[in-house]
Amino acid sequence: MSDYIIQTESLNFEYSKSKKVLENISINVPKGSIYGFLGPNGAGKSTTMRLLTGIIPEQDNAIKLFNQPLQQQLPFVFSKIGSLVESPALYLHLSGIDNLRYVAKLRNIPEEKIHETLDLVDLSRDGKRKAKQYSLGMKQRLAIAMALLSDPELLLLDEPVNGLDPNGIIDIRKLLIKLNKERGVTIFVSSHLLSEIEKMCTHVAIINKGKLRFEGTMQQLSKEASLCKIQITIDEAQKWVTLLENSYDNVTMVAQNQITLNIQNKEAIPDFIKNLIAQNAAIYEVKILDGLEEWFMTITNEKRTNEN
Amino acid sequence: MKNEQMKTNISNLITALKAENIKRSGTGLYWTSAILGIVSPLLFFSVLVATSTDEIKQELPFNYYLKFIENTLEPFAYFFFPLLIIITVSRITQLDHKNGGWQLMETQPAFKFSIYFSKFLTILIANVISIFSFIIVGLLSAWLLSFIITVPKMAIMEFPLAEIFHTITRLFVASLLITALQFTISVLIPSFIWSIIIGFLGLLLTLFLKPFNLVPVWYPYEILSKIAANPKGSDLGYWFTFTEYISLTISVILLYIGFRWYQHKTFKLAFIKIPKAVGMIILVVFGGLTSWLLCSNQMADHDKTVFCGKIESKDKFQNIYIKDLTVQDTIAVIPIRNNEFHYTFKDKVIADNYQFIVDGKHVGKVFFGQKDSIYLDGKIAGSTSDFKIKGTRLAENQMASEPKMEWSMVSYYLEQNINLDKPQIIIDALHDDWKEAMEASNTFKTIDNYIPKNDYIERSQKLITTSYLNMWYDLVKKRAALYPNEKTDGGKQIEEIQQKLSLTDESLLSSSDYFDYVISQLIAKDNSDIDENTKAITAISKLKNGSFKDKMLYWQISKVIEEASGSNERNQFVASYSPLFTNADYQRKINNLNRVAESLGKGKTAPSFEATALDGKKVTLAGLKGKYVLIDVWATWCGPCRHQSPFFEKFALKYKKENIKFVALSTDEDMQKWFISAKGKSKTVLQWHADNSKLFADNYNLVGIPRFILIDPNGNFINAKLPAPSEASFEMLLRKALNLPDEG
Repeated sequence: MSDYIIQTESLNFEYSKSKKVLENISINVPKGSIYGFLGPNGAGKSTTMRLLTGIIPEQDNAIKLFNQPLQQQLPFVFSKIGSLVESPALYLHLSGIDNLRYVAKLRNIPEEKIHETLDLVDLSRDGKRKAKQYSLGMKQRLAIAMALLSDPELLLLDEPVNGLDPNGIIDIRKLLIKLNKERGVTIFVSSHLLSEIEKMCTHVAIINKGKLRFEGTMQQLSKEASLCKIQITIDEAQKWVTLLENSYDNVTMVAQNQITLNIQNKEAIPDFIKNLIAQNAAIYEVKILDGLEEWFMTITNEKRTNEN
Repeated sequence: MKNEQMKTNISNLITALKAENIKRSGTGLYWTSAILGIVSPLLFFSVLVATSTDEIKQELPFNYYLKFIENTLEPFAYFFFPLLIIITVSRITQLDHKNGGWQLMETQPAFKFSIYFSKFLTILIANVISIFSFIIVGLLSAWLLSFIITVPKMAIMEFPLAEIFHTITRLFVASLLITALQFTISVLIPSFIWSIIIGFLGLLLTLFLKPFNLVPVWYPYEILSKIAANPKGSDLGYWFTFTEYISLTISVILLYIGFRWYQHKTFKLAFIKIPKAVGMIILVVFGGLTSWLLCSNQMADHDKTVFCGKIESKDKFQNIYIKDLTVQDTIAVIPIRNNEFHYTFKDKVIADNYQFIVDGKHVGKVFFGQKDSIYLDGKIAGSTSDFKIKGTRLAENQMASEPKMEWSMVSYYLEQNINLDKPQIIIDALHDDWKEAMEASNTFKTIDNYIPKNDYIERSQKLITTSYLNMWYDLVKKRAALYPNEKTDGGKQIEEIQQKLSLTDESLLSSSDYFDYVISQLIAKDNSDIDENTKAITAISKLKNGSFKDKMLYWQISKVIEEASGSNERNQFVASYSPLFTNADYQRKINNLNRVAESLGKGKTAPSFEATALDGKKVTLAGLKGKYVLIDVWATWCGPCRHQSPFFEKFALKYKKENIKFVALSTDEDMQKWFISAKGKSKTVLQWHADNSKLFADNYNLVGIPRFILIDPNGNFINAKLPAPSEASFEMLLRKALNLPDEG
């Protein structure tokens, strides 16, 4: 059991009786993983993040960090945790170095670490400038530096690349992978964009409307996701939808002559096509909807699909 | 284990405090504190430099530095310091509200306790910086000022270390409550505007509510200003006053509530869902302490009736006379040894206002009665004196010396003759004002939360009732004259007021108001066509013999002596009614009064006196025979005299050509002061200094100055008590005496 750094057991949270924000969220973050926590805006990601950091008091003792209930470890558990919750918390009137000095003081870290950490996020040259003069990316990197300062075992990052340009995103991603590889830091990172995460995560959880939709490794995710769905371009789509609905799941007409549907696996595709042609279907194209994106959209947009 | 825990907690707090200090740097927060601290002393310094005069005022010895600080305390404690606290608290909490700092701090290995209180402590440090910069710059300005202006001779230039320390600690403790309150608000409400609005509103409300006496003693935004109002602090020798202790106890409660709320984010979670024993204990203990502090105290009776005290002075004094105010009876002569005295009354003392007189010169008023122990703390320097009355009647005597607002709607109606045709409006106003005044009489508290004893309150209320009933009879009289056919009925409202007052309360007879009221009641039914004084004396003579009647008689006869227009009328009145006294002492006193009045009457010879002129030559009143003489009796220390003297000089110039001499006669103790001041005055006026001012005062029945006396060329009085020259009647009387026709 000791391989899990974060565990929640049916985590619930509500602001009032009628408004449940989180329902039965059980996640397990293995040690040494980069764990992506995915969900659209408003799914409950930030709430989960705040609960994990104790910023919002937990309503029952469902959270365990380092195999201990969180409540009992506050606040010193943060000696082992670096966190970045939502918008970067920086003191804009202070220089980058002073921001780090502040954190160093609170965490009893020698000041030498500051320059090392600034190097790590590539801010050495701007350390003496006031944080209010920083660009968004620099602010984000400074905030990450503040989280990294104490060589944490666990990094909790809430939307760390939000608002960054593609280069910034790549830089941060590289940095996180490096930290994970070289120092064995477990990273828990939340995002609403699958593309951000799929490139670096080892594990993924998907949350929507306060409920957990999926948890597993990247491999499990690809397996589950990519092999199910195909898109065919076909004449008389409407007719085929009704016919196909009897034997396949999730048959949807996405355009005038396009249908998407779920199929058991990749290997079933040739037979599927043969079968259609045997029934005189005019098929122009068959496409596997590869990548996680489509799948991710499917679960997170469940409401929309249901309404259709 | 407990100890370990404690150590971790403290070191965690210190770490947080140091971190907070890093965050603070670059905000200029401490500079703001220092700057707002020095505004008030610098302002005062420049005002003094700009307006300083070399005028010599008679004053008691005072500590020069302390006085400067006390003078600058008002703007600081009333305004700049609270303002600073509101701003500092807002800024320091905004630092984290704006930058998402709360979340950052809460994800660090720091207790929420450390986070919360490291910020609070930083604010306290800012407060201390402000207090110290205020004191240090105050002392420096005072020191600099001593080179620029002339420091009064009686100023003590010692450095008042103990008093300064006392003031610093009081300022600090009194500032805790407003700091804790603003801090609680500012942490809970992320928007800066609310804490600022609440703070300013709180400060402003003090200004609006204070005149109506509506500010509760615990009001957070006012406690600081009490230090400026009472820079010396407790009357009873405590280090802190009760409001300062209240500041401390409520602060603890507020900080606890604020912290719990912050710790658990929602009120429900903090106080309803997770009740905590510690919290209950804090609330009960400090809530209890607060309500205990808020309870008013009354002094206990002493086992004897004692009058004692000391006088701080370079001079030595012999005796203190204690006189009752009605008939000027001396009830005790207390010998003073080494400027200290102690006296125990053997006879019963009626609780009343008395006058005490130190060696015939320094006069004060004191309220006391049976089983009171009065301690008189006096300071005398030259002709100036200051007396503080302590002991069992501390609150009563302080209440008596408080300036009172005498204005009421009713007195305005009566003065301006408004609404006389609608008596009900006046009656309603009278009843309301009376009710209000009665309630207000019950609100006085000393700085140590002592309230007057019940007998004093009752007495004050009776006197209030008296003055309102007098207004009522004024109305009745006015209406009787204006509308002879209409009856003026006071109804239930006036009845209610009347019921509060007995017509035979001897202890109230030291008040002339009460005398007026009793008389108005006695003669109310008398419709005969004679003057009121005759009606009154007839009614009084019908009273039962005894000291009540004696006192009434005394009032009435002395009133007639004062008012009588001629010597004959006066003598006749005294001769016919003074035998009615039961107590021969009163009779003797009345005869004395009459004799003095007689000697100052028109046509009587003005007593001669000797004086010194500006050139040092001896002069006498007799030397001016053959000329009219108009004397202005004054002294350098007397403010009203200084006000009248230009008017006096104006007439001296105007009537220069007439057969009249204008004399300004000084009664100063210190001839030097007179000399300096008189040299600068008009040469048209003869500047004299009375050689024996005591004798002069006795002969001329000098009760107060300025006094204006007109004497004819034969050395006889024309008028021993002229109105002031600033009044129009002064010149009319003067012209009449000089046989000049009326002007235009």
